[in-house]
Amino acid sequence: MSGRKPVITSSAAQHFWDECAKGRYLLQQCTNCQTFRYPPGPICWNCASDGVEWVESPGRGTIFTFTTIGRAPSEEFKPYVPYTVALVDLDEGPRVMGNVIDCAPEDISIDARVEVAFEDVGDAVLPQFVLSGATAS
Amino acid sequence: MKDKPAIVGAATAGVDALEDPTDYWGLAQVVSARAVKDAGMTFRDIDGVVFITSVWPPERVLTSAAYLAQTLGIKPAWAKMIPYGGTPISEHFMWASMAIQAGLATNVLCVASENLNSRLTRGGVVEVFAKTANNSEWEYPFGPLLPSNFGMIAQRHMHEYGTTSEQLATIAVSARKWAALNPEAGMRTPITVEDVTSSKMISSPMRMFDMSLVSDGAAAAVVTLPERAHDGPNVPVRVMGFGECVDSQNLMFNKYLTKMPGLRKATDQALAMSGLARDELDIVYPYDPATISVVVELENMGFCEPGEGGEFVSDGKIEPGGSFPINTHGGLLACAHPGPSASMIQMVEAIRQLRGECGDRQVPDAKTALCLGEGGFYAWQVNVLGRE
Ligand SMILES: [Zn+2]
Repeated sequence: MSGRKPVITSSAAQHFWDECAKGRYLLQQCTNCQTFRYPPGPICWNCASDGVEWVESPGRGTIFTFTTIGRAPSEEFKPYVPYTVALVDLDEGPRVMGNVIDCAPEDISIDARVEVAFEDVGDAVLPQFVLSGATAS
Repeated sequence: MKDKPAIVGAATAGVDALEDPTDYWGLAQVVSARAVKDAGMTFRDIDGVVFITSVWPPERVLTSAAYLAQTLGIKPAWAKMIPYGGTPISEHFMWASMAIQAGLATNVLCVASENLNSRLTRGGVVEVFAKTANNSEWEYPFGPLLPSNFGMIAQRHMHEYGTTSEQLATIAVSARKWAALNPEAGMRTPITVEDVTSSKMISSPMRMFDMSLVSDGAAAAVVTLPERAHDGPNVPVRVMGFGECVDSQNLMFNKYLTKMPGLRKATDQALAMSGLARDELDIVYPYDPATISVVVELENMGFCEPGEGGEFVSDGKIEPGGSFPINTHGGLLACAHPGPSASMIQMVEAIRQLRGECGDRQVPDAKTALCLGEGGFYAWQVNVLGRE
């Protein structure tokens, strides 16, 4: 599939997406106050420090909310309908968006535990989520 | 009230899509002429313009207010552009009032115009909004629609409070009842709760009839100096107060989704400036791109307790003849949602109600109204309007 490539807006973001392509889920952590942040950027939203390091995350989290889409926004998403978009609270703190894949939409619920699984969608490798215990394809 | 700037002219165009132009600038020019005429003025009397950007290039440019002023022969002009998206779309009266109070302008023409439906069609609008309302790096690759944001809010509200799809559906049913009384409204056919809960699932739990229309439409109003309020032919409507606050732009940055301290703050600011209490408001205009929006907004503006919104809206009080009338034109759900002009259409309806011009849908002796505008997901602006 094409057309799902993120519009990459910074060198920090480029690093995040490059590492996703290698199957590594990296988060930025502030070296001053230890707060994790997402999306990546130069400054800590908690303490305004520019001290930062990249930390590999196991990508585990909890579904805060989700929605299952019955009508594709554009051509490139039609093959996936119905698919689920979720906001996931990572154990490190940040809230991220991703699809919950490799399960039936009716098995997805708020507070369900999930973990990152990388999905190659053709022109990008996206950090997606699977229900914990499920096997990524 | 005598020291508040006064709205002395108001108009809509293209909302019923019958005889008016369907091009962007044509709509803006026609509605401007109508509003100025309604105020008993000509373009020569206008020295300020507030205009909002279009959804889509080539008109999505920040020079549009100056361009509109020159096409209308308004010069010299104080010209203020409001960007659509990210900031609330209802900022016209705030900027006009501040400009008048600062001495920058005396008669300010406030305009909003869009021809979403004619230019893009419904399918095109769905795609454009999915790509522009959602972040193109951290959201769009995962395929959310614009309505997915409301789906995620509703899912959370249902989880926390037990709100039901049937309760949300009553909001869409009520919007159609108001729209049936408004000759300009786009969707005037009555619907039932079952029609809503059996309509196509768009982004769960939001179905087709939980979501707003896609429309053309323009609206405009003229704001003048407090002391000129009575110079024109109309009952003046005062800009009593306004407040503005951002909770978030994208939902992944919003901690709660169901709780909005910024909306509460904006509402409190606007009411404090107006000197009015919540129970002194005759009509409330929530911003209703989706049914769930009405519930979370009424809760967070302080008209009911957190979690009680579903019950609050579903006992008939928001319908025509009810004790808590909302969106008397039919709202974005049943009158029109032409993107950037949705809020001005809503505010012109409020002005017409306060003037007593609304015929079958007139709220008896309405003197005060509160209008809410939203930008992105949870950037808020509240306007309180009133008459003597
Ligand atoms: Zn920090």
